[in-house]
Amino acid sequence: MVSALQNPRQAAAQLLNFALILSTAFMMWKGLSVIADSPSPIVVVLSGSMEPAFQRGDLLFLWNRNFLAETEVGEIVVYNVKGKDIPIVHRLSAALAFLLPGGILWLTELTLNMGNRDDAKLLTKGDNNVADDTELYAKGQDYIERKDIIGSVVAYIPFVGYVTILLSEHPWLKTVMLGIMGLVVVLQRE
Amino acid sequence: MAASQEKITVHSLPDLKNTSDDAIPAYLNSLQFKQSHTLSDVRLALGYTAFAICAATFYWDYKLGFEPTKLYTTIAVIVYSLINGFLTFWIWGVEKGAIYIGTSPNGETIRISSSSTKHVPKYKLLVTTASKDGKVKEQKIERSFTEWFDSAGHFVPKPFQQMFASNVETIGRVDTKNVVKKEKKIKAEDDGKSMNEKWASLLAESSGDAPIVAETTATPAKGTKRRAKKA
Repeated sequence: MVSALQNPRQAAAQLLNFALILSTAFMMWKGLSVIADSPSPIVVVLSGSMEPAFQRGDLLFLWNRNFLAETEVGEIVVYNVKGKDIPIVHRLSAALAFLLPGGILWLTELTLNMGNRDDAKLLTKGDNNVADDTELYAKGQDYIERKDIIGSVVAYIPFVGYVTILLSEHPWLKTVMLGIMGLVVVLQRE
Repeated sequence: MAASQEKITVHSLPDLKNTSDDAIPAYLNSLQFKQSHTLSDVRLALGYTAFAICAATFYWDYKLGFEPTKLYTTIAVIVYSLINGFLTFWIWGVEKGAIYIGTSPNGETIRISSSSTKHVPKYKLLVTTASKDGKVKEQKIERSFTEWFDSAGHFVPKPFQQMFASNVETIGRVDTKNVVKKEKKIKAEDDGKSMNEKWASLLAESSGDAPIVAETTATPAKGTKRRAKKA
């Protein structure tokens, strides 16, 4: 480290190595986001509400573009609820057809390109839950819209996401990991 | 010319290589060679530009969210990959492990790159020199690290500098003190040799072989030659 101080170019080069590892990881993530058109193209299942399809810790890959196929009822989607930070992974259970004075007429099939429209009104439900998600939505919200969805699940890897659950439940682990990574990169010149 | 105070772990090949790499600019610059930093400066500029783009992307994504910044993020991702691709090309295709590029006080240019194979404690150097009239000479030097590191891990500059001064003419012309002459020894052995063998040893000397390597290989080389004649 002393030699690094004497040689600013070498110090800058070593710092750059570290910076490029971090930035490349971030830009790959962003690239994936842009391709999938989803702010968060890879998510981890946090609850058991979709069992037996998905378990806690499963890693899900999302796709949020409709040029190959419409979003359809029956797909498993990840959506955001206003006022909540954590996205929810549930199955699309119905699409709204009409708002009637006495209630809502739900359809179990999307028609007339409804799935492509940003304001398509949709209902979701966890496979393992008894009732649909109206309880989970914001106050007074009876449905979600297509634009609330950040992606449909297209692939998954079981369990590997458990690391991130550990990291988010024990935030100090993050600091430790980042610290170790930083030290290794700065001290090693291999 | 005493050994350095700093110690390295002799079992660590990267340490051996890095210490040797660092010693080259120190040595050559002490001989009034003028070091050129252009290549590494371009690398640093490219790298930090890429990092700045990433930092900006991170900032506006954090401030404004995904949807409003989608277009800028797409552009940033493309530009970042282009710069990073070019940076990779620069490191592998242009810098090629160069650790020293400079000009000698005589106006000759020199470029030194180094490498080592995993688990083999040998320092491999590729020295490219160009005289003022543009004559390019490329030579490879492969030497054991043990020649300039003692068993405790101290770097001993003298043999290291001698290796350069004796093998690379561009350096030898400036650092005459460190040129190790091999002629006397060879002359002593010369008696009784045929003209051909004298030529062979002269050739071996001029081809940039290390003095120590030359000494050890001289005898077996003679032997094989004799055997070949008999056959």
